[in-house]
Amino acid sequence: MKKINCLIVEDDAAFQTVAFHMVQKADRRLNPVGMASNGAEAIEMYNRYDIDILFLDIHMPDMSGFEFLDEIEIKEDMQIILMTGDEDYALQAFEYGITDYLLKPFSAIRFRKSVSRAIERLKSEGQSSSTENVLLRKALQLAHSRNKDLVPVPSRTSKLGYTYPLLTINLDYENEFTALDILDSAEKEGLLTGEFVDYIYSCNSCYNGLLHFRESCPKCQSSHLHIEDLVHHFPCAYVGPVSDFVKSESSDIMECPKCKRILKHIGVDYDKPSVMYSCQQCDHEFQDPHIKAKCHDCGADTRVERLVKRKVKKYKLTKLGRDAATGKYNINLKGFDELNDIINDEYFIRLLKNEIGRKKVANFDSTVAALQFSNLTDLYQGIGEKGQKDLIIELFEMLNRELHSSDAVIFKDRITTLFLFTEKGVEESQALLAKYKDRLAELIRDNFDDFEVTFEEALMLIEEQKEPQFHLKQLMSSFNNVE
Amino acid sequence: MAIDDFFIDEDNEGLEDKRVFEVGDFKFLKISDQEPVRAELIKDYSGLIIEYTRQTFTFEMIKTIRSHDEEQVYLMPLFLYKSYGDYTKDLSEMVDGTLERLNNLSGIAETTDIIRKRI
Repeated sequence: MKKINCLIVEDDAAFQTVAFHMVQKADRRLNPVGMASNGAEAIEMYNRYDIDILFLDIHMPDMSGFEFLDEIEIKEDMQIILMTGDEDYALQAFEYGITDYLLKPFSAIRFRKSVSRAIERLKSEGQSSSTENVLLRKALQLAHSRNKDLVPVPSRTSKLGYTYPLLTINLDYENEFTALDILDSAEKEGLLTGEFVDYIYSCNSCYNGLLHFRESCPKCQSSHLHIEDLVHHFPCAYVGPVSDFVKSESSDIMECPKCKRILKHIGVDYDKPSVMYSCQQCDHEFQDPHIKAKCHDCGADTRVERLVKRKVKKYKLTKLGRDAATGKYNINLKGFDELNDIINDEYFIRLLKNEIGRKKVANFDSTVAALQFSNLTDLYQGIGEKGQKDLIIELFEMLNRELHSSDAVIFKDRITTLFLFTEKGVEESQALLAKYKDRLAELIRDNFDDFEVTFEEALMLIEEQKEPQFHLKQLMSSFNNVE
Repeated sequence: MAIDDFFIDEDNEGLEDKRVFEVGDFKFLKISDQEPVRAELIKDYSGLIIEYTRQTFTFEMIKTIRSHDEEQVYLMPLFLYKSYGDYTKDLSEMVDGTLERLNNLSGIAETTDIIRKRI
C-alpha cells in the first residue's frame, strides 16, 4: 500500500504535538502532511493535499469540526477520526459517517486501534477498485456464472504461449503476464485452488514466451559457432576434433595425427565422446556453450538459467471465490507493488526527523549511513525486472533479520540502501555496516554464480541542528552519481 | 477499443425481422461485422449470437464485450454461429456455446437460463 496522507486539525498546541507523534508511531505508512489549528487553515491544507485520514477536533476557534466538514468536499474513501473531550456529539458523528470517535484523553493503544481500523477501511474501499481486483472479480463472475474452471489454453497469439480466456481477454498483449500474478495471488487469498498443468519460460525483461534458443560463446556471447565432434583414438589415447583426423576433404578416411594409424570402426578403435565448439567471432574453443534465449518481442538475449520460470495451473473456484463472484466477499489482493514499502526514502526521512527530535532533548550519538551497490546494475541487466524485484526483497528481508531492533533500513533506490543506527557512534556503526556488507555480498554470490558485488559507503553522525534532507544530501554526495 | 467501434450509431428499427430470435422468454440478437447494431441495444437481449465471419473480427467483438465495464454487458451469454468448421480453442472458451443452425435455439436458451440463474 502506498503512503497514507494524514491531516491533524487541532487547536490545542500541546495536544497537536502529541497527536503528531502518535500518528508517526502508529503505522509506518502514515504520512502526516500537515497540522492545522483552526478551520481556515484546515480548509487550506485539505484542498492542497490528497488527504486519506483526517484527525479532527470538534472545538476550534473559528468553526466546529462539523462545520469544517460541511465546508469541504469529502472524498468518498477518506476516513475521519474525531478527537474530542465531549461525549455529546456521538449521534452527529454517526450522521457524518465518522470512522471513529476518540474521547480525550485516550491511550496510545486506543489510538493505534482506531488508526488500524481506518487503514483497513481505506484499503477495502480503495483497493477493491484496483485493476487487479476488478479483473479478478470479472473472471470469477464469468467462471461462476458458467460453472467453469479457469483453464489455461495453449495459444500461439498469446504473449505467454498460454491464455486464460476468461481473464486474459481483459488484458492488453503487453500485460498478459499479469494474469499469472493475479491468479497466484488469488490462490494465496483462498479464492482459487490451483492444479499444476505445465511450466513456462518467459523473457525476464518483458515476459514474452516466444523465445529463440541457441548456443553461444561463453567468452564473447556470439552465437556464430562451429561445432565439431571430438574423437578419442583408443590405441594411442589421442583426443582431438574430427578435423585433425581427416586426411583430405574428398576422402572419408580418418588418420590419427599422433600415431598415423587409420581409424577403422567407431566403438572398436575410436569413439566420439563429445563435441567441440569454436567461436567464429573470437576463436575461443570450448565444450560447454551458454544456452541463450533471444526474446522475439524486446530483443533481450538472456541465459536460459535466468529466464522467468512460472507454473501454469488450472484453477477451481473455492467457496470464498464463489462468494467473491456473487459480491458477498470483497476482493482485496495483496502482493502487487511489493517494492513500495521497501524503496521509500520518505519513510526514512520521517524516522530521521524523529531521531533528530530525540537528539535535541538527550545527549547521545546516532548515525546515518548509505550503502551503494556500485556494480549491481551489471547483474540487473541479466536478471530482468522480476529478478530485480525478487533480489531487492531478499536483500531487504535479510537486512531486517540482521538489524538491531532500534535501527532501521530502507532502499532509497534499486542500488542504494539507507541505514539509521540509533544511539550508536561512528565506530560501532562502521562495524555493523561492514558486517552487513559481508552478508549482502555472500547472499548475492550464492545466488548469482559467484557475482562479486562492490560497494561504496558513506556514514555520518546525525546533527540535531540540521534537517533530515541535509543528511541525505550529504550521504549521497559522497557517491559518484550525485543527485 | 471501445464497444461503439463495433456497434454503429444507427436507428435499429426493423431489427425484429431477421436478427432477433425469440425462444420462450428469451430474446437473442444476432450480430456480425455485416450487421452492426447500436451499443446500448445489446443490453436489452438475453444473449448474443455472433456470426463467425473472420477470426479477427470475432475475437475483437468478444474481447470488446467481455472486457466491457458494465456487468450487464460482460456477463452477457455469447454464442458463436457458423454453418460449418471448427473454432480455435481460446475462442470457444470465451463464449458459452456454438451453433451451426439457427432453426433450433433451445440449446442456447437452456444455457442462457442456467447462466442467468447463477449471475
